[in-house]
Amino acid sequence: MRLDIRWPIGLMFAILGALLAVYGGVTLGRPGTAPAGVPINLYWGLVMLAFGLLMLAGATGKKKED
Amino acid sequence: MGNAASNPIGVEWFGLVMGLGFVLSFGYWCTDFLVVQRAMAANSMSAARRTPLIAAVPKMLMPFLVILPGMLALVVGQEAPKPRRDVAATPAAAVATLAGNPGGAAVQATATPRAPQAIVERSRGIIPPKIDPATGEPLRDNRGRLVLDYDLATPMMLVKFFPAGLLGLGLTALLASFMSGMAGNVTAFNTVWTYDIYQSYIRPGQSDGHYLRMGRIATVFGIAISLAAAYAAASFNNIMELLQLVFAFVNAPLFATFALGMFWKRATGHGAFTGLLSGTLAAAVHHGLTLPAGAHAGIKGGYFGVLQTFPSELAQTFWTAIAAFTTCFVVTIAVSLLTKPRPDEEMKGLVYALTPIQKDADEPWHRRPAALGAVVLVAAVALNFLFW
Repeated sequence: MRLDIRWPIGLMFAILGALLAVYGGVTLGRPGTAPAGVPINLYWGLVMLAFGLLMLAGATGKKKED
Repeated sequence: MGNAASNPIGVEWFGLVMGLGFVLSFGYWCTDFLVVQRAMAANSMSAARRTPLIAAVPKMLMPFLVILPGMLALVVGQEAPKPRRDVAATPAAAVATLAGNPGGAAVQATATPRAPQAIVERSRGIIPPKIDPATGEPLRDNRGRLVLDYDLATPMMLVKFFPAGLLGLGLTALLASFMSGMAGNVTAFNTVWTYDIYQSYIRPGQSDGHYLRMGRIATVFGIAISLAAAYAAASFNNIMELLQLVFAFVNAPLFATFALGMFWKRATGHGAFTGLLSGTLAAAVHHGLTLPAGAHAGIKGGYFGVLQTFPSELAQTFWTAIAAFTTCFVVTIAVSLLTKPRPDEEMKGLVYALTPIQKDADEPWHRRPAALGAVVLVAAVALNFLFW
């Protein structure tokens, strides 16, 4: 069995990104959550989630080709 | 660039181009096990040839990762610091946390920020000064200026700009990259020792279990060495200077051996071994006879007496690399010419002239090493012009 590397990458980024985005969304506006003026937890969580989903989409898409 | 006095590293163009550009760079890309190891794991010759070229792309962006945070950290602290409540959010508390006493001391520093505050006032940006481990006082150079601890630039930026949540992710990413680098180097260490030295020369023909046990011992030993190296690294201003010095000792002579072994079929095993040994010795002699300005004899050189002083550690390292490479190159040729050559049949596939050239003309352009190499080269030149 050959593991498509996009599965572990996608799962890791999607799960961590979802965690971070949810945490950032729940704590939105609380003091100390945006040291540079940007709710970075929420934004970066969404970026990671999007990247993870992109990887997972690539991994599932490839399976159909085979 | 024309003379050594006109740039902060204190190295003239020849030392830079030959030392860093040729010997150290080629040594790193062509002989460093961590790089070569990746290519060895490739599933085809064509993929193996592409490996370093693809790796060159993120490597070109390294300066953004290692230099930009330091430059940003120098200027971000310049605006008036806002008093804040969260732990380690003020520079003073962060200094205490990161300067080697995390845990209890950090909490104490938040409550009574008097002593660390004095340190912060005398540093630039949010980079704290280096602390002398013996006295606990900030280090000063021989001109009385504070020595800043640039290794802390990235951690300080993390602490200042990342909130809880992303901070955990950032620290995890840092740790993951340390562990991956450590794992790769430890694997390289026990592989080279067990397979290439122990199995080949010391105890050939033993059982797999025997070599497995030896590999484990080598792993423990390698980690012990790296712990010792970490303490040695603490006396350098930044990790890159120590890294280049190690490369000058190890990779620079190795590169001469590799280059001659691959492109000169007259080179012999005795020549390579003698050249490698004398190249490493030449590095030690050069390093031991020179000293960077303001340093004391010891780990930074000068242990055989000081013949010459270099303006900086890097200038000394570049010339150490040149000395090691040249000595290895000359000695390998000389000894090879004095020893019996190997017949051509034994050298097939090992020496460039006796190896069939890989054909990749029918591959699409983005899989051809020459095309990828050209792209990487153009990008490197463009980046150099951009940040001249």
